[in-house]
Amino acid sequence: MPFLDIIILASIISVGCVLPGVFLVLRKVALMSDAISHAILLGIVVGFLIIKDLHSPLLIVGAALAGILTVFLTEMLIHSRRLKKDAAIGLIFPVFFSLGVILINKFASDVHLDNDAVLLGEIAYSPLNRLYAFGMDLGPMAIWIMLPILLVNILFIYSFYKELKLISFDPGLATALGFSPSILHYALMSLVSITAVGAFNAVGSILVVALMITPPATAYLLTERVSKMIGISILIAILSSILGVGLAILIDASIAGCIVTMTGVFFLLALCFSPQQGLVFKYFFAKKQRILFAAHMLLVHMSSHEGTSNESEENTIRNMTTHMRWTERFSKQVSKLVVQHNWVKRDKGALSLTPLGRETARSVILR
Amino acid sequence: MRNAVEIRDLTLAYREKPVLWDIDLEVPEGVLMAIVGPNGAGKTTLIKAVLGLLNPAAGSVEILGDALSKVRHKVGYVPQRTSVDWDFPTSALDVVLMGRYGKIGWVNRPSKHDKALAREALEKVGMSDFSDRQINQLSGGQQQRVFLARALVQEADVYFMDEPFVGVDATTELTIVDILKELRSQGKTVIVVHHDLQTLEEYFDWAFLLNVRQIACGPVQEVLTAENLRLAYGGRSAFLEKAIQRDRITE
Repeated sequence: MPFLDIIILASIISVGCVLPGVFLVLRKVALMSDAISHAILLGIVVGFLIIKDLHSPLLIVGAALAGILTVFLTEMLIHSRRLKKDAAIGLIFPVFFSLGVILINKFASDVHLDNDAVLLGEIAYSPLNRLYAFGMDLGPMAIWIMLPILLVNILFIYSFYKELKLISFDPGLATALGFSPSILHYALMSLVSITAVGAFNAVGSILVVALMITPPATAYLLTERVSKMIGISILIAILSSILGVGLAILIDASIAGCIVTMTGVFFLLALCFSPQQGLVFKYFFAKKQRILFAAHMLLVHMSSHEGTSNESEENTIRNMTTHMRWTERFSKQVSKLVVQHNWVKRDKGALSLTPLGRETARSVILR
Repeated sequence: MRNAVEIRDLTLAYREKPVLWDIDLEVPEGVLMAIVGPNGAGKTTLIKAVLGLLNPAAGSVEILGDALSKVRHKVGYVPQRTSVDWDFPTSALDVVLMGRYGKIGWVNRPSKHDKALAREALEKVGMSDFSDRQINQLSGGQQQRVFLARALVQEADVYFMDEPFVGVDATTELTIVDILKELRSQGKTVIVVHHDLQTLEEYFDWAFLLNVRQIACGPVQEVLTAENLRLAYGGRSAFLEKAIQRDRITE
């Protein structure tokens, strides 16, 4: 069952990416994942040139070091106050990535470390490289690399949940209380590096970024609590893995690409349909508000003309389009609303306030 | 009597530009002190330096006769309201609970006792109805109350508050003042970065007048002289000098 293997592996990778990703999004350093996932290439290449073995676990160490070095240099640039945060993040990693590419071209062109693999990974082939022990097939090797990384991430987030929340919300208070934001920041960034290395082989460096950022960004739209944000991110990660593999089979395309496409679909759905901040909700809410406000305006207008000589002319349906300059359709919506609320009685074209309508008009003016 | 805060020769600079210049300050225990001075006088910088959030170029700070690292749990801090992102996905109660984190320590979770204290503090600042509210749904004054509640649960002996009265309505201002006075009556020391000279005498009993260099420190009436204000504000508070002179004539 190679596809089941792939789904399991994809789920482990994406959940592993999402966990540190939530705090990258909350700390507004999402782009740091981009920097790290590119910079690790240099670590992998340098590691390979020293050890001459593409499957050595020491490559992970080298790659993680390159990631942390990127974070360190970026932080130094930020603290120099000569550059803004975004520019500083964007400066270091392209240099590291380019050095990695040059080193591949020069010294490792005969090895399987080609550009496609770097960008998109090779999750489709990962079931072929299996771990055997005591004559037993223990499943794809990649799972056994990524599973410990996932467990470390879970353990870290579980243990330091409260501290991570504090440094993300109020680093000043964190420092004052004795929780060093920079220690926790580097710990988190180390995890991002290790996770990116682990995921690199399967999904490539660009897609790692998407897996770290998109599910948490989606969850951010859907909830108002950090704990739920983590839960929803994990759910989206797993669903995207399953649906992504399915989509890839269906249209015969890159598996990693399809998984990330699915996370993008979830984001789009959340953007449009989230209950509080969704665009659709906001559109209808704003429309409703506009009609309600117009209805109030109408009530005030009618109460000020009530009992005056031109009442019969002002307090009519026709007046809404001629004087108030509302469109026919909008006037209809407004008049329907005021009659529904029993604020206004309608007698063909003529309108008259009910006692409730008069009361409402007064409270609107006083508001 | 022991000093709540003792600052010696504190100088702090951004690159070569001094923001605080050779500050010496002794704050006696149990006072309600305002740090006042014009914009850019270094008021916020001063409390950040005292709390170890900024590194001074020179000088030393002692709180309750000890180094900060030894008395952290006795120090409460209310940063400027605008210093944090209020869209952060969390509730008012959760923000208040953060004040307990120092006492709870690494890794441990807040206990029932911590949560009870947080609820109590929210009630004290008149916010118990909002404890589960997402923090971006609170008004500026309500957010400031939440910050104050968070400081209360720190159960500190010395409090530092950065502009707690900025952008709050009159009722919130009175609530905050009541709580500050209550803290003082419990023997705590409260140091507040303050903007409004008009309310200085009414709210505080001690003042530190600052404009990069220290101008004066002591009981409010002694600090608020026309001479000191001219030194701190230059020509910018001519209106206040006039007010003070008028006061003298009527006396």
